[in-house]
Amino acid sequence: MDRDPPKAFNGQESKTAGMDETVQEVSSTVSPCIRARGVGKTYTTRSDEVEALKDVDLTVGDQEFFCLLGPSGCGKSTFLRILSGLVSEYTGTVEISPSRTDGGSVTNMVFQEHGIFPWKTVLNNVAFGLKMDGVGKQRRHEKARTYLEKVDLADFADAYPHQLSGGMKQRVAIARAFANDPEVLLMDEPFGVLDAQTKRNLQTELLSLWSETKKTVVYVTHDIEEAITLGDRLAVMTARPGSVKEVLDVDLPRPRTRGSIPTDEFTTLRERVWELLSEEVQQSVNR
Amino acid sequence: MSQSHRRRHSSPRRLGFHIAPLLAVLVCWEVFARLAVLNPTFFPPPSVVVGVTGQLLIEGSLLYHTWVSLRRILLAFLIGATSGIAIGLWMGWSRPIRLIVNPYVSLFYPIPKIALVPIMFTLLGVTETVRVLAMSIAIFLLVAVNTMGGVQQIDDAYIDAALDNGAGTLALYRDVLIPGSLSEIFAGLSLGLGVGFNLIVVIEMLAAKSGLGYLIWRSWRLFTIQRMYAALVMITLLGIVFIYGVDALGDRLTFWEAE
Repeated sequence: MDRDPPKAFNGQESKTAGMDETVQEVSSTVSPCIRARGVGKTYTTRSDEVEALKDVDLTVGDQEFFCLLGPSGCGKSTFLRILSGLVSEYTGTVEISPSRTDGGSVTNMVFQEHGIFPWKTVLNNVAFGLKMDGVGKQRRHEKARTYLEKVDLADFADAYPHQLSGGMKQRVAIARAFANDPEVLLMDEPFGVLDAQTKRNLQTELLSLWSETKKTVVYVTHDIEEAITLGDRLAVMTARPGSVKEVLDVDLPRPRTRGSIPTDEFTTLRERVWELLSEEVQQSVNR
Repeated sequence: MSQSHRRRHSSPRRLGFHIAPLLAVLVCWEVFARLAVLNPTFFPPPSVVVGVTGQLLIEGSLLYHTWVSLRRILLAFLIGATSGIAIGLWMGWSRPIRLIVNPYVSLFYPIPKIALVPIMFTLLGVTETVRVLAMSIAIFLLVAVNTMGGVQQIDDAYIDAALDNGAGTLALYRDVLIPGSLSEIFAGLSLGLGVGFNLIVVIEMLAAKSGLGYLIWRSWRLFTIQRMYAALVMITLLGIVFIYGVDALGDRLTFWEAE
């Protein structure tokens, strides 16, 4: 196994000046935050080469909640890792244009599992990114507590992750990501292993945090309903090598709660996405 | 907090598992020795051994030999553990270092270290340095190999999460690699101590004029059997304290893995 540290960040993001900072109705015409052009990634193993991504073109608007759907193994996680800088060798270009000037981190990831450290208390987990940024102990703990309150875990600040349920752990991970206050949140199936009820609760919490802070979110999932419930837009990816098959607008009113989503439009969109996706799933099964 | 503290330290229980059979053996031994089923000249009953041990401790000679062995063990442990952890962490994390260093570790790992002692005596003379060094090499190898394995088995997600949150090299070691491999580090320390105790006894038997191994060997040759048992009791006690102590400390420090 290769355990060499990837480069912290690859310098591919450029700080574009004069980004539109006014809060707009989020749509596909909003000023871009992430611009990926012709992104490709090939993994070389000892025996052969696997092309994970090929020619990914994608633009994500500022403050947009963007969902990335695709069959398993289509490279959507790889794409997220390229955006985060964890994967630094790829072809094509990725530009992330932060409208911030305070030097905070540009992106932050929420992982599906094992993203929080079992040897740190909940509080220290949430404060970890701030600690890495050199924020003093008192200030980072204060901030971490604020976000723990937002995810209803204030009473668990001194607990350790093994004392928490799966859903609580993911709330810790989300609290950390928001406490870091990055420009872009990258979420890699954060609720993928949770039961349906917990998942729904966390989706609601996430949406409320997001509407409070208006971060740009790129959210990877293989759950169609989740993508429609959460996203402003969603992209369906092709089977490996992954590329963007189609981008769809999710024209549903917000805030989206269980009752407020118009059933007809939801169903129509779900059928449409399912059609697009099932062709690709079929392909990846047939391979 | 609503969650119960499920604790969880397995060592005291494990120690209990060892004490019960030990007591059984001692009781049988006592009974058989008293009934003269066992020859009490060669197998003095444990009650007698305890008495002799206490007496020799007060006299001072046993205490002296215990201290000499203890000092050798502590020194060797200190050298072997620190170098083993450092090299092990480095090998575990960095592929180039692993490729360069691991072949040497792998070469020495399977050699019975006692077989190298004569060579070391030839090179460095029959000195205290060699006695300690031989033991620390054995501890170093076990700790290094275990630590390296511990780092390599850390879930990639933890490392990704640390890097994604902006961890530099120092923070990565402190906040992820060391805590993430801690239970393997302690497993290595415990194994290393086990091997180290074997080595120090043999080395003291062969090439020392002090220490519990020396005392055991000399007492046997001089036919002062009770004295030999007294030394055996002391080295056993040291072994229990160190090996189980390290185990218990490791369990305590890696409490999150005890589920």
